[in-house]
Amino acid sequence: MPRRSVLILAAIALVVAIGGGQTWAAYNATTASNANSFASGTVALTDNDSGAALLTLATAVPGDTDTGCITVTYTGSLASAVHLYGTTSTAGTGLDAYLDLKITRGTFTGAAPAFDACTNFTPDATNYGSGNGVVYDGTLLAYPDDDYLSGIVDPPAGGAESWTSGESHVYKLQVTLRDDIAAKGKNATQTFTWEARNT
Amino acid sequence: MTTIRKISLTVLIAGLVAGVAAFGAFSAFSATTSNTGNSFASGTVAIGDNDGGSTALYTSANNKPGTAVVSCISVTYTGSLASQVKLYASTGISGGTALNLKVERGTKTTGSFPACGDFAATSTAYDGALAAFPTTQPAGVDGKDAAATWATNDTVAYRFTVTVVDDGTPNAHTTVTSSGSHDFTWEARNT
Repeated sequence: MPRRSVLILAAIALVVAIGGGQTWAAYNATTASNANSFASGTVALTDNDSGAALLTLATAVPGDTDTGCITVTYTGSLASAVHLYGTTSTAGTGLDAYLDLKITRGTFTGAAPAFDACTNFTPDATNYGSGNGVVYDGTLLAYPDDDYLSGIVDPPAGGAESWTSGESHVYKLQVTLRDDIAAKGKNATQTFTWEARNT
Repeated sequence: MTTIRKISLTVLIAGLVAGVAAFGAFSAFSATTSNTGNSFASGTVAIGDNDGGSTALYTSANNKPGTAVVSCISVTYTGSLASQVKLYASTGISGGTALNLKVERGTKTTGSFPACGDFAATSTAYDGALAAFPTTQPAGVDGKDAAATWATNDTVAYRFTVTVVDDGTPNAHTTVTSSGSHDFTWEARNT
């Protein structure tokens, strides 16, 4: 009788189900700590050069100079200290010893010009040791290379500034070719780096 | 007479006869002895903590390398059966190897949740990437060192230390690395 078969099958299924439920041989209990979360902060530094060079001196003669301004903006969430350093290309032939570099920190008072113009640039009112706003004044060769720790602290006097989110400073860079016959025929390529590290 | 009435009458008569027979059967002494007061009940498995029900051990943002978030929680076993306790986390924790969690077992008598008060560590349960913390009971971290069993009223304090792993890679931290919301569960199972 098909109806009876179905009933028997149902009964077997029930027994099997109960048997399965009984495989718990242990009690258990839980307690929990809920909704924990942890996140890092950020360190981010940008500039307005869009990848273009700041300074260019081609077929220069002694006394030739080039000036450029760059705006560096901090967008990280953690307070940071900024150091300046550079990388001199090994492809250069030694002109960096005959190039004077002066870096001045300041702001644009009024409208900011397009990169890399310095219109409306005003140096910081503080003398960091070499004149108001000047953070470096020396040869390109002597400019610190490749290393945050040996880099120039921003600013170099009065303690490192704590850069916070949204803060920006304008840096005016000026290179001048020295009057030295030894500089003849030489060239140099330089990268300038601003590095932020959270404090 | 209907069949039902006939049957009823027969049953009545049979009952009467049986009753008389039973009455007459009292003709022997008897004695019994008994063992009373037997009972059987299940044991219990129960575990609790001191977080007040819903307060997180940590909800911390904008952290930097070298600065740790430290919180403590005490877990107490109140079941009657000896149990094993395992600690595991909820799934889906993000952050990869950028966030580190250290869980230490110890004792603690002062400091209300989640403060650590006089916490004194006795062993380390876990020290590694937060995102790699086990997420199932079988794979969970042992509640006691060397998976020792828990008896009634055993309490273990746990110190959670969460840190951002230091990484000097330039421009690698311009966006937030977050663990996402996650839970920790202590699960007791009787042995």
